[in-house]
Amino acid sequence: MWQRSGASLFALVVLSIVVVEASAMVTLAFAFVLLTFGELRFEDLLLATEIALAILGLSVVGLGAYIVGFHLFAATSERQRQERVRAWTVWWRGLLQYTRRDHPGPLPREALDAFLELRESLPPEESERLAVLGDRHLIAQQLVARLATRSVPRRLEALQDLARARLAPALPSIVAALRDPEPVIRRHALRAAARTLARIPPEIRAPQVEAFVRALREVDLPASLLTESMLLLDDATAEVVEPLLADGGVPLPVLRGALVAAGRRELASLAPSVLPFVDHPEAEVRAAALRALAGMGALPAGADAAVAARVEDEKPFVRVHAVRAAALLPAPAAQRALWARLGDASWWVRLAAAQALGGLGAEGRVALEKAAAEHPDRFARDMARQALADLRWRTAA
Amino acid sequence: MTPVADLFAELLLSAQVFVFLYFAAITTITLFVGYFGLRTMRISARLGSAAPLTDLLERDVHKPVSILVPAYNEAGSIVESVRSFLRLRFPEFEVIVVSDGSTDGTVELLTEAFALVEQPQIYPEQIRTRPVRRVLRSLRHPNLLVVEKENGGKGDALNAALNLSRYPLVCTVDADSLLEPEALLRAARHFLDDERVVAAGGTIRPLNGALVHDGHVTELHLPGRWIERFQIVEYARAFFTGRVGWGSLNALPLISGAFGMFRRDRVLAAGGYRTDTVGEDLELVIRLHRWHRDHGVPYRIVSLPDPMCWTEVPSDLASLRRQRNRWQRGLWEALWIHRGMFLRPRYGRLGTLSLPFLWLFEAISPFVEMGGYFLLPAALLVGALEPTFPILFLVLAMAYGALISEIAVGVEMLLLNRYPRLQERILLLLASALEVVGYRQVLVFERCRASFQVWSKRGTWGSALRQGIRSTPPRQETPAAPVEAAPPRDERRSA
Repeated sequence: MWQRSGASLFALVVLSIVVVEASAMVTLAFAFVLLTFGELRFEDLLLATEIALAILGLSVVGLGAYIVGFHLFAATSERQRQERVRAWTVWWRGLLQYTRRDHPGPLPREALDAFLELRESLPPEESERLAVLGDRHLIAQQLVARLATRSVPRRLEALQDLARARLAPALPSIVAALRDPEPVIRRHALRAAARTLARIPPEIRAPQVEAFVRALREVDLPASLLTESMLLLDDATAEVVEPLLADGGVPLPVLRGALVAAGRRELASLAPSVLPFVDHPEAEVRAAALRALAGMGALPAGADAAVAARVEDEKPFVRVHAVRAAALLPAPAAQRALWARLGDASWWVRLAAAQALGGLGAEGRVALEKAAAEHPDRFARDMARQALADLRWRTAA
Repeated sequence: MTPVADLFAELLLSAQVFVFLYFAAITTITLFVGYFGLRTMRISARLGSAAPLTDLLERDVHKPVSILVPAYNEAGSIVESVRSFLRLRFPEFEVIVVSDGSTDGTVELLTEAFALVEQPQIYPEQIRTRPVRRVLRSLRHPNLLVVEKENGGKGDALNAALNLSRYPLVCTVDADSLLEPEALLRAARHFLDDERVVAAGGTIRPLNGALVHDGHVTELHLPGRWIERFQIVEYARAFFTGRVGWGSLNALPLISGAFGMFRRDRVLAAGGYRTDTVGEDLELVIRLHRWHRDHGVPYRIVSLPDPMCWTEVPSDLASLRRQRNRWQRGLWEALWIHRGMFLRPRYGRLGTLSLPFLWLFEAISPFVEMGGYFLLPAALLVGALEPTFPILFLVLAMAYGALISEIAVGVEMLLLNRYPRLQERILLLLASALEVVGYRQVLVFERCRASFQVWSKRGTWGSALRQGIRSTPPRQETPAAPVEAAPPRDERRSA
């Protein structure tokens, strides 16, 4: 929907109009005040108003003409641009099939656009061959060069293109952008770095992983975004998350991001590294660790006592995640813990306990039926009945 | 002239000077806020690309969303709207429609279209509402919930939906609106990018004239009536000169009820929606600012320039006047409720910039403008001004209005690429010039009138004539057999 090509020019036109009109308005206001104090003749005020009106009229007509003119120009130029992109797409495909020769000198913008489109749409094997061809034509260097501007929109555009290109030679420059003072640049650099790192073959990516982890230790970004970047790493997630969990001194958002990513990726091999964080002094970290354990689908050795203790954590949102992790305890312990939490003071913990019991299969269903009839807490009985009704409804739907 | 006539002429001249300075201030501020908005939009144009949204979808890092749809007698559009909500591109969301005592068969239509069956729900009543009669769920769409309750107003319906919602983000949507397929993705992206974001307003645009298929806008045409075209200009101008600019300063006072996304826990902490005002959306956003400032919690409330939501605007003058009357009353109510924030530095830019702007240039402006219209001929009549000047001044004021509208329409057409046909673009440019003659004055008069009705019509909404959403006929959906028909329950306890 957004049209980027005319944005800068239009902003410039609008800025000129704003400055001219604001100046005219201020001058006129000043003239009016002078008239009130008898320092200006009425004829002079009239003249000033006529001039202001003339400038305004020119602005209105000029802007209208610009809009219509731009419409006509944009339609033609966009059609021509698309034709050029199509031609360059054919050229890249020809290069892949060895029917075309290399292009001497730097590639034009349309060639880059065609490359980026193909990089995303081709099957992985062909896409990697395209990346090699891109290296030969210094695509990474061209994209990185576009980062060297003070304009935030232009740097954003460059980072988005780098995220699409995923070219290893560009990674150091992208990682450097993680220290940019502009949060929006850091956010996009993080995504671009993660996407690029994911495409580097495992056997050669150790130095890049190390550089990325080093940058993550210092980056100032929210946990949710860090989780996303670690998930974008695909099979490199474990290599990045492991050193972060091993290092006790990483910032809390990075730690939370790493824990949640470990859970989402179901990295059961990291469960022993996650376990100590179940007792972390920060509630958000405890919740993230429990969420990770629940996501991994199995508790590591020695986790039972820690998880069982956390179902009575002082913070309700920690108890919610603890209850979900408690479903992974051995059957009698899991049922005991969940039965007890059905009577929790927090509605959300009761709901999580009922849902966790419902997820335990036939045994859980029997426990829910029993809770619906016999639980000493009235609200626990209600929640068990609701969970059973939901299960029946889901079966029917 | 007699001394009395002289004094009168002096007074008229002073009033004219005041009107002019006021006009100069509002125009200059609007132009500058608009320019800041344009700068923000240039960045947004880069943020709005598909890749970050696809990543969000594929990597499963989203926060799930509850869509809250208050509905009162929305039989004309509710099925098409809900269909559009259910087809949104988002991995995990629920739609909660609250029929607020509808009497036009809204629930029956929904029941037939989506195979609804009664399914009692236990939920924490964190905000007291008018009694819920029953809760229905769809056998075809597990994420659709319809609530039937006693009439209590839009705020009350939204509170009931908040009570029933289960996800960390809630998205409030009008029942006569359609959402862009990626609206949730784009809005939710901001909550992921910055954990301080507690509310995000989307861009609302008039649906009139658009062709709708399967709950989505497929073709955007200019509507036939000028009154609808003028509203397209108005929406573009409000978005360009206000929302984005104020949002970039973290001083956004309003997120339209037609589309807004909020952190559920913060809305509940602030007390949910007030039920004694017709400006519940404005009031809630100001209260969210206030709550966060009072509690020293870092936060951001942002306006998103991305296309989000299409809503049907009034197509006749009477309905339009009723709507604007309600908006103006809602503005006064919200400003009065939060009068303690006015010019208080502890409330940041909202207290020191945008609330004073609302008081001076939104609440009072109809009186000043109307005063200007009366003062000019009066000054002319008593000879306080030479005849050429009032005409020049009037033309100047109107031309400034037209210029601001023209810039906004330019943003709409050139940056957002809407209304792509040349003929429609020329008509929109024409509408931006014509809107200042007649149409604007009628609405100014209505806003003046509304200001005197704030107390007498407190909480009164009034009805609006709507065309309903035009669409190709939906596929026939066969109703499935209901499951257990349990008696309704209303069992709640606070979490």
